[in-house]
Parts: sequence; structure tokens; C-alpha cells
Amino acid sequence: MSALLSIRDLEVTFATEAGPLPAVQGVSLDVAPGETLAIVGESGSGKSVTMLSLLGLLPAGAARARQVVFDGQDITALDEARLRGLRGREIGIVFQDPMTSLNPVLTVGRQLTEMFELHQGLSRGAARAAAVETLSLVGMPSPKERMATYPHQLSGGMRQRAMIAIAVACRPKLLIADEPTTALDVTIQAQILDLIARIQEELGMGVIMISHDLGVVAGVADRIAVMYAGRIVEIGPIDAVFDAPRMPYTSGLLASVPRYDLDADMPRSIPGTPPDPLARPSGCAFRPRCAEARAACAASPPPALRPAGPPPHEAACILVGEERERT
Amino acid sequence: MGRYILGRILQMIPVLLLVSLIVFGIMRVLPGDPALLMLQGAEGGVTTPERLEALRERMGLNDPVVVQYWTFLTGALTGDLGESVRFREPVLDMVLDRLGSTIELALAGLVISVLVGVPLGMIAAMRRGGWIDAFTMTFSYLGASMPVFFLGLILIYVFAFGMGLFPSAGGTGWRSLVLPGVTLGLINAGLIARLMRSSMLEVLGEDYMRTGRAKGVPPGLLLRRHGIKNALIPVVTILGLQFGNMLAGTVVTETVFSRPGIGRMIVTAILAKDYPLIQGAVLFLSIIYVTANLLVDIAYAWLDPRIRYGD
Repeated sequence: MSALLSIRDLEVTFATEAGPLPAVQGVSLDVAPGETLAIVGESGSGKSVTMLSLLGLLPAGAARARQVVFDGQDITALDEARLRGLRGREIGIVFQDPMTSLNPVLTVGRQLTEMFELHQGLSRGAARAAAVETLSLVGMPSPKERMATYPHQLSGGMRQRAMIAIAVACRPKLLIADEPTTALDVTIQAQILDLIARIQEELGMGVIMISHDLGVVAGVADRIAVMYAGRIVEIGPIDAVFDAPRMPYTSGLLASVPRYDLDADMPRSIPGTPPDPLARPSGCAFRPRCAEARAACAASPPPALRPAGPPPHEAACILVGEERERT
Repeated sequence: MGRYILGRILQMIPVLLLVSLIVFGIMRVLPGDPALLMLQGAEGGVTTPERLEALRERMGLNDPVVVQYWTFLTGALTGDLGESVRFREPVLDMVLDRLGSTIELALAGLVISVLVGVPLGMIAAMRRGGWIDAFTMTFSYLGASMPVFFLGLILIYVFAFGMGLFPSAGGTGWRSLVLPGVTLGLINAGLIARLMRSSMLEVLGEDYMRTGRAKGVPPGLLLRRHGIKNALIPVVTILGLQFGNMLAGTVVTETVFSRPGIGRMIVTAILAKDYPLIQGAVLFLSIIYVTANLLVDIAYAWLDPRIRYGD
């Protein structure tokens, strides 16, 4: 089956006063229709920027990719107007904080009907009916009444439901959820994740779930991509990556997750901090924090991961090569 | 919304009481005998003890201060603001006679400052760093630093004497309103443009604007539907204060353009030490100012549902 989304060699560089800042370096990934891909990494690892570049929401000229094929169409070649037709209609996005991501002076209904008017040319009445239907799809109680409320009148969880309603209003083929539960109470988080999973099944969407929280993605993702310092350092089926991480950074991430269900050791943190993107170390960017680092790691960065074709579980690490030589 | 407006109206009562107290105090805090000052001011120093005593009695100056204030307050509430010493006319009639002209001028100034300032600030924000932005910044500094009378004189020189497009003084109808209105408007437009610029810049960086783009909303619609209303909120708050500026500005503007308004009447009254007239005029200007701020609060609530629903 061909991929719904396929990104090849994405580079994002921001012009800053201190010089060009490489936020994303050579990212390639695929998302199959109906699949959930999780992208995890620390803040600043480039996971959100990757997705914003996909939608063309970054400053002009910041993003460059050899190829971004979405639903059979190379969207790097699209002009702004065509790209706008894609945004919201074919690709929906849910942002982290529904309080600031919803317009405070417009009703929930207006922010939702706008989608149908823009992308499907519906009349006001028809858009309203569609909006009420979408609100009930996302489990908003008494959706008709909720149409007239403003974001500040809703609870955090209800706000995120409204945000999701906007994102899936036009039945997109791909939903990007950028830390959809980070701003929410723990008790609400599971509800929102369940909701996204349910809608995904109902609409058959591909989902990209961005998170810094491995616990969040563990239950929902089919595959996981780990990003560090602007690169994907490990990618593979979620069980494979969780059971046998191949890159020391991934192992470190997994070891730092508190496990209350196991009688395991205390969570261990990874020593050090991610490198300053303006002064990344030579070779592998994780080298200074890596317990397994050796001289060869400083020479050149591991080759960027190519998601196409086997093996499905790959890591950008010198250890992987050594392991292969041994077997 | 109705409850909110009612609350705002009730809040006006203590403000207006305080205003009446201050206005009443004007005459009491001046050094010397107001009746004497008034006689000297009005009749060129011809004062006899009998006339003075008669005036003191007529003004109620022999009563205790509390009684005087009560008399003033109940008088003001029933529309009796006393009589102008100089013109021997009821103050209320004189004020009402000129009120229309002043409100007309202040409104014209406000409308012009909004019509110029809001779009200018918006474009400056969208084209940040461009020539319109630079022009807006210069314009706002000029507006803030140029005295009203000076701009008025320049406009008179160019458009009245030079081109003969508009009358330089007095007159009625819209033509006579253009130059004074533009004078007041331009002086205040700078501040509004600056405010609008910074407010718009802030809004452009907000998450919900990014959401709008992610929804596929075209830039023009994004600005109109999602941007402007949010950006106007801080600007509207300032408009009420600006209106006070406008009223103060009318004093000078009406003098420069010889318009028969309250502003010019106050100047004349001050020169003539006509205290009842000053009191009446200041009281009315205060009422207008407080009412303007009430309207601003209502506009504010209309723009921002978080205010409307008391959150």
C-alpha cells in the first residue's frame, strides 16, 4: 500500500540574528493511511517544526525538502493558495493548548462553521447543521447549545474537543496532533486520546501524534519515530522500539519513564541537556551525553534514516552497524 | 450584557457625585472672596460694600458650606446651575446652547482619529519595517509632540487662506467642521495608530492566528474575522481616555477656529472670572466624559465576550 504521506530529506533552517539555525536536518518519514505514527523527542528536537513545515506554516524559505508527497501529490510544488486548500480540508491539526489556540472572541460554532463554508462552500444553515454533527462526533454534550458558547466558557477538555472538532470537520485524510494532551488535566488526557483513536477509526485517518511523553504514545501509536537535535534517530514499530531500543538515546528515554506498574528501578534521567542548535557537536549530536560513545562517533553523523523498505526498525547509531557485523 | 451595562451605569453615580464635589470646590479653594473676585473681574473693579454684600447673599456665600453644596447639588440635579455673572443668563441655557457644537467637534475628531489611526496601525503592523511602518512611527511622534493650536494654524494657512477650500473660522454646516475636526483628529490619530500597531503585532503572533492559517483561512479573511476584533480591544479601552483628550482639545481648537462651543466659552468665562458659568460648563464636560467612557465599556464588552460574561 502506498504511503499517505511521505517526506524525504526535509531541512528546516531559521534565519536568526546569531546565524542560520538548523531546526530539522534531513528528516524522512512515511505515514500509511489509517496508521498512527508517534513522533517523540525533547522540546527543541524539531518535531513540531517538522509538522508546521508540512502545512507551509513556517516563515517563507525556512523549509526545504527533496520531496513531500501527500496523497499522491508532491506538495512542495504547490503554491500558497493550493496549499491553503489542503490545510484544514485534507490535513487537520490539533495544537497543544486549546485555550490560546481557539479565538477568544468568536463562538465555538463560528470557528467550526467557518471550516464548512471555506472548504465545502456550504451555506450558513448547512454549515451549522454540519457543525452540530461534528460537535456530537467529538462527544460534546448538548452540541446545539455549545455552538453559541465562547472558548473561555468551556473546560479544558471540552475546549480540546472543540479544537479536535475543527481539525476533523472536513474529514481530513491526515490528522496531526501536536501534544494534544499536554495542557490538560491527567484525568482528561486518556479521554482525549481515546477520542482521537475513535475518530481515527471512524474516519480512517492517518494520525501523526507528536509528544514528549512516551506514556502518551505507548497506547495509541503503531509506529514511533524518536527525534533528537533535528534528526530522526530511531524509527520502528512501537513494540519493537519499546522492547529493544537500538539507539542509546531511545534507551535513555525509556529508562526515564516512571513505571508504577513494575517493581522496577527508579527512573533514570539522561545526563546533560540537548545541544544548542547553533553549536551542535560534530558527528552524532547525542555523543556528549551518550554512555556508549566512542571515537568514531565524532567523525561523522550516522547516515539519515531511510524509511522506505526493510528493515522496519532502524536507528541512526554506530552501534547498529556493529551489531550487524557481529551477526 | 444588560446586567453588565446596568452595573456600569450604577458605577457612574459615585463618579458624578465626586465630580460635582470638585466642581463645587473650584470656587471655594480659590484665594480671596469669590464674590469680590467676580465683581472685580466682571465690572472692572467698581465695587461697593453694598453690591458685594448683595452678591454674597445672592450666591449663598453666607450659608454654611454643607448647605451651599446641597443647594448646588439639588440645583444641578433639577437643571438650575445658577446665572452667569457676566451675561445675566441661566448657565444651563448657555451651556446647552453650545454643547451641540462641542460634541459635534469632539465626535468628528474621534471619528477622524479612528479612521486614520486604526488602518494606519494595522498596515504598519502587517508591513513591519516597511516605509508605511516608518511613516506611522514618525506620524505618531509628530501627533504627540505638536500642539493643537499650531496644527490648527497650519491647516488654516494652507486650506483656508491658501486654497480657500474651507472657512477659517466660525460658520455652520459640515464645511466649517472639517478643519477643526481634522486638527483634533490628526493630533490623536498618532497615538491610536501606535497602539493599533503594537496590538496588531501581538495578535499576529497569537496561537489562534496560527490555528486560522492551519484551518486554511485566506490571509485577508483571517485578518478581518480573527485579527481585527482582537486587536481592537486594547485600542477601544484607550478611546475613552482619548475622548477626554478631545474635549480638552476642543478648548484650544474652538478658540483657534472661533467656534461657538463650550471650550471657547470656558476660556471666556475664566478670563471674566465668571464662576457659575465655569462650574456649569466643567460639570457638563465631565458628564460627557463619563458617558463616553460608559459607551467605551459597552463597546469593550461587545468586542470581548470574556468581559461580557463576567469572567
